[in-house]
Amino acid sequence: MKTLLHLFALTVLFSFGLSAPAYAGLDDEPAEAESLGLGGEFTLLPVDVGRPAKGLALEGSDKALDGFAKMAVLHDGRVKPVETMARHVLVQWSGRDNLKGRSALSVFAAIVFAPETTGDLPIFRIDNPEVAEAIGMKPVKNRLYTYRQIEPGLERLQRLAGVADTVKEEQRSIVEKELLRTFGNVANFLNLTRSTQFAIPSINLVVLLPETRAALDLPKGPTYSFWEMMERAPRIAVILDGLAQNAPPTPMENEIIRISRSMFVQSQSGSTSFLLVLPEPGREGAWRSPAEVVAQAEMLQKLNGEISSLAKMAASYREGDAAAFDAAATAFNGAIAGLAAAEIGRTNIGLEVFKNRLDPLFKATVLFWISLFVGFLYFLFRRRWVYLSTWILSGAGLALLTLDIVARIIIMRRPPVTSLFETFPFVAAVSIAVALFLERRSRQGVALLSATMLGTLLLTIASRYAADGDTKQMLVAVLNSNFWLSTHVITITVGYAACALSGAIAHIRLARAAWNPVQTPELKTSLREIDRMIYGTLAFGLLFSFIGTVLGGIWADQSWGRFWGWDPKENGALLIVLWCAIILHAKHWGVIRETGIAACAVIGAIIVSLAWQGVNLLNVGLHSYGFTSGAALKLFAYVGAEVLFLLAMWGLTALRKRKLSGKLTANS
Amino acid sequence: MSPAPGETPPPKTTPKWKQTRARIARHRFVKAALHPAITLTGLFMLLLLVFFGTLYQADHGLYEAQRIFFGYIIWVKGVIPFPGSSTVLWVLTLQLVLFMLVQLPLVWKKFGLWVVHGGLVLLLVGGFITQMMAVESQLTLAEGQTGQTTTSYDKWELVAFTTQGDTNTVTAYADDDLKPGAVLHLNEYKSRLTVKTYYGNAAAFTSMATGGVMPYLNASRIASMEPRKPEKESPANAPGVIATLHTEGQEDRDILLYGLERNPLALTLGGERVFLQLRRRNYPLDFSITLRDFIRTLHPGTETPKSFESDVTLNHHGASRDLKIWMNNPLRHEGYTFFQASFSMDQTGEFSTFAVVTNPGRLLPYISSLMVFGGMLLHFMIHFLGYVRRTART
Amino acid sequence: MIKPISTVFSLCALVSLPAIMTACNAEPEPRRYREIVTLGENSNLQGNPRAAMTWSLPQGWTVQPEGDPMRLTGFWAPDPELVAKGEADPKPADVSIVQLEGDAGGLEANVTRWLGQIKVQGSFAQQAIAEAVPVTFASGQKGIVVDFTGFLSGDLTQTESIVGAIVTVGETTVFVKAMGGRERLQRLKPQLIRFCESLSVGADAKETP
Repeated sequence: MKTLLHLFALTVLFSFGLSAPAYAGLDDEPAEAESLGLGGEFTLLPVDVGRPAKGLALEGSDKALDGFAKMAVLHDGRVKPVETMARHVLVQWSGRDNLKGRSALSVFAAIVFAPETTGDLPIFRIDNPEVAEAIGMKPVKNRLYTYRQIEPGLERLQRLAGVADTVKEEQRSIVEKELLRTFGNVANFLNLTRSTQFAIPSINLVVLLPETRAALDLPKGPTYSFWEMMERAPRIAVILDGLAQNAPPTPMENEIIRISRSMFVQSQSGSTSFLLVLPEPGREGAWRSPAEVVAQAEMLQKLNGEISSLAKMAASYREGDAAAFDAAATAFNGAIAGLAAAEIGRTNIGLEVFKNRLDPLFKATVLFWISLFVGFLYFLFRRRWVYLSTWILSGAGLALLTLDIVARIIIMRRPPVTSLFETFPFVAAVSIAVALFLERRSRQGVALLSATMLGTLLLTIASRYAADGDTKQMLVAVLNSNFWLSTHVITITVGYAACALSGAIAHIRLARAAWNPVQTPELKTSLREIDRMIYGTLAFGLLFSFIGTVLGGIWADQSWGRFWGWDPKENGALLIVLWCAIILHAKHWGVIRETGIAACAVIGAIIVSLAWQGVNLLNVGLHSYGFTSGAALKLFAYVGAEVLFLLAMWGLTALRKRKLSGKLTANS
Repeated sequence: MSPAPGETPPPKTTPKWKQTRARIARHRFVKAALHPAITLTGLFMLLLLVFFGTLYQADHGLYEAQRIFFGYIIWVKGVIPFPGSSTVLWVLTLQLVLFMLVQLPLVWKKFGLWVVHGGLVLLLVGGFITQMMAVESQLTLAEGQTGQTTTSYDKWELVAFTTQGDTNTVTAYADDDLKPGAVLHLNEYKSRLTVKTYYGNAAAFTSMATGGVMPYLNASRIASMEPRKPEKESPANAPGVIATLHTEGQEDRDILLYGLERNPLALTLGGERVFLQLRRRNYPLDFSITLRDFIRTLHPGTETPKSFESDVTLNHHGASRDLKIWMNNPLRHEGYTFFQASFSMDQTGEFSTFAVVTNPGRLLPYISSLMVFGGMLLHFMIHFLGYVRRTART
Repeated sequence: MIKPISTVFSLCALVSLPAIMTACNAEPEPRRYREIVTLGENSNLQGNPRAAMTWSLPQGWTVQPEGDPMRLTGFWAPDPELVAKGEADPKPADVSIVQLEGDAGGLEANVTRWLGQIKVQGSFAQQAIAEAVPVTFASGQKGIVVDFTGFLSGDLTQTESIVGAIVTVGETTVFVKAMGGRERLQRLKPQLIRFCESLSVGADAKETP
């Protein structure tokens, strides 16, 4: 009944809106937030909405915003918790997932529920000072800008971005790319600020007369939100209905007329926002933003309860009422779970939020950095407790890493290693697990130290990729899960892991041998043990790389009809197989011995890194779906470092030999 | 029966063929052929070829990279010869076969290695067969359209055809045969073409550039051509050919055919109306495929495609079957495999493109990979068990 | 005993020699086959066999390379005045030939479609059809040539116009559309009509001179 009344009221309001000319001479059309010729979508951020938000009281506590964090939103093709979207969005804009300690969720909540307070948050990262100057801003050292700083140059930014857009993607300069990126980010920001526009007080809906306030039973104003007025629509309808045809309206009636026209305008101007939190009942994959639903009477009728909850959330956020906010959020989430049961059933929102907050990858990285340091200490001071500590730290790191991988599999509902980013945690996990297994058998500390080295290096690189944004992205059709593809990718990464481990152990072996060119029997035994480890892991590397390459060929044959196409990534895997084969055959024929094998294993690590990363930088072929700028430089730096290492070991051996033989001749 | 004390046990007799095998293995030619240096150098050369070939591919495209690095000889800087992949692979394959024939020990301990290397030989043979005999082409259909011919991506042919109703009778010469001086006989039309010039990739200019003079017979008023460097994406090449047409009872004429022309050159030869054209190779099929519907699904709320599917009907000798082709799920029929490759959509409708592959050596990589994998596993298990036993003792 | 090796080698040499010789000297062998022609589908599709279409290309016109899958052929038609002076035309008109199934929606619908392409507002389709000139292809099919250069577009920044022929060919409709600057098209119109009159479509296509 209530909704019918709303509908009726809305219709009456609309008809009055349409007949506005009859009331010409009254207040002019209320000034809309001015659009700078940016097109209908771009309304700027109001500075003051007349009723300030106390929501800042909720600023520090993610706990109070928990209900909002767990709200389901359709973003980038996947239904995910709002918190993930908040992090992704903030990383995209500013490069970090928090703002000076304030969590992404908190910032996001402010943008959605109290946008007028977010104008001065430095959330837009503009790396290139030229771009900042082009928009008319003075470049700032930390490269983070606020919306208010950008606002005056917004029209210019739009124009420049439009020009940059006409250039073909491959030919765009860095400045052009940055312009487009910045404009996109600001546009997205403005878009999100309109998410709950209907529930936020608007200066267009200001009530000045106490009689009006009494007639409509309004709380303290002076401005009100669209929804607050909508709730009073029957009363407004009654008053409008009772307008005498020939007598001029009273001041109160005038005010009500003005309000109704503002409401009409506002209801028509709300366009979609990216906060797609309302699933269309009966249609999977069609999620709507609140503004869309409010603007369509039919949908509003169906989702009235949910919209109400959102309005309550906005209101309680702005008043700083944590309890009411939580209650409204819980009610909303419960309703949505009922509406889109199937889609929500396919998500794991609780797990995802837990994983976001725990951030196991970051913690694992930290643990491995510490364990690396402690591991080095063990080689200087051979103390049992140092050894144990390294073990515990590495073990804990591995546990967190595994948790991260498993959680990802559950959340994304697909096998691991389906994107370039995911290869890093997986390779790290496999190589560290194998290293720890080897350490259990040999107990020399060498395998343990390699584990810490690999953990540190690989996870640090992984975190760079994570800075790219949401690491849980949807895949293009050709990469849809498929038995051959999944097995191919997993085996290849295991192959990478084995070769990487072999290379890591080889580093230690070379350093050891270089430092002690004269080998005592204990050293000889210990080195023999290490050499067996290197050889064994290399052999496994060959096995898995070969199987992985072949499975890749089978997948290619099943998907587009040819087993081998000389794709750069295929070639990279082939290079690893060839190199491992060369080493093993050379050893078999006595062409290289222990030191040579270790050096070749280090070169093997270089080849693995080229196959793994380098092929993506060639930007050609079927495998170019993962790309991070600046990576090329880092890759070359890594290769250079390895070459220097090998030369250094060679030089060190020579130096140490001379030193020791000098000592010997001196002593003889 | 154990020998009596003081007697040496009777020698175990090696079968005659094993003795011969061992003797052959000792021959100096054979020893030279089986020298590890050849294997290691060969593998290392292969490594270098793959590495530099991949880098070359990034700038010049796959087709050119394959042509240069997969040939028999590469002329570095035009003067220094370096073996191409084909040469290296031939040498390694032959050495491997020889190795298995005369040297690989026939003991159970090395059984894993036998399987591995046998599988490798099979893999290389399969690769060779694919290289020689596989044909890749494509078929694009609009919704509702039926196709019976697939078209090559980047291989061309010079055709002479006549049309009766809806059928063309075609005589086609492959682009590989279009070398200067080659004679292409068209006996059915009492003619022959002698190729004067052929460019794998060319730009064509109309008579405006030559002031209205038309030195060649051509359907699009093309008066001259200039060769161009091969395109990075080989399907983008536009070849051109100039040939002298000799027909019985007529004067010799020079004709020019260009790959990007829409329409063939229409001539009267031997009393028939014959069309001459330089076009991408067509492969007629024994059966036809009708595209009933093309469906593209996007990930919700994005522009990223989630799946493509084509509902097709396969018509073969009167019998029709309704089937679905989608990503990673091809249609296999009569040695042809149809893969959902891509699509396009415009105002007039939706088009689905299928990649069509026929390859007699298709199954060899599967068999050989299984053999290599199994063999490696076998071999490493034998050795790994040894390692575990050794370290368990310490 | 060791002779088998040298025998094997000489055998290989013997086998390879004729192989090399045949590869070098053989005259090319053709492939002979039959293919079904697809006529009337509006998709260029990289060489799907089609029945031939021939014409006589007016002076200065150049053939466009393959690109737009909707077109059978495209040409660039420069301003005849500039061609006469021997100068190049920086903005030649774009002439396209498109073939659609059936009547493609009817004459009026297609004329309206073209008017929409040059942003002419108001319903001038009837008028354009009434003012159209008849034209006949060399292969006998009859149609009309509509000229929009007299109609102003509602968007004053739009300077392009269309002159085009619409001809029924069997079960299909062929559209020859020239699009470009208004004055240029007016000068081009006679050439376009002559081009249409030289067009041969279908089994009656005449030999190119």
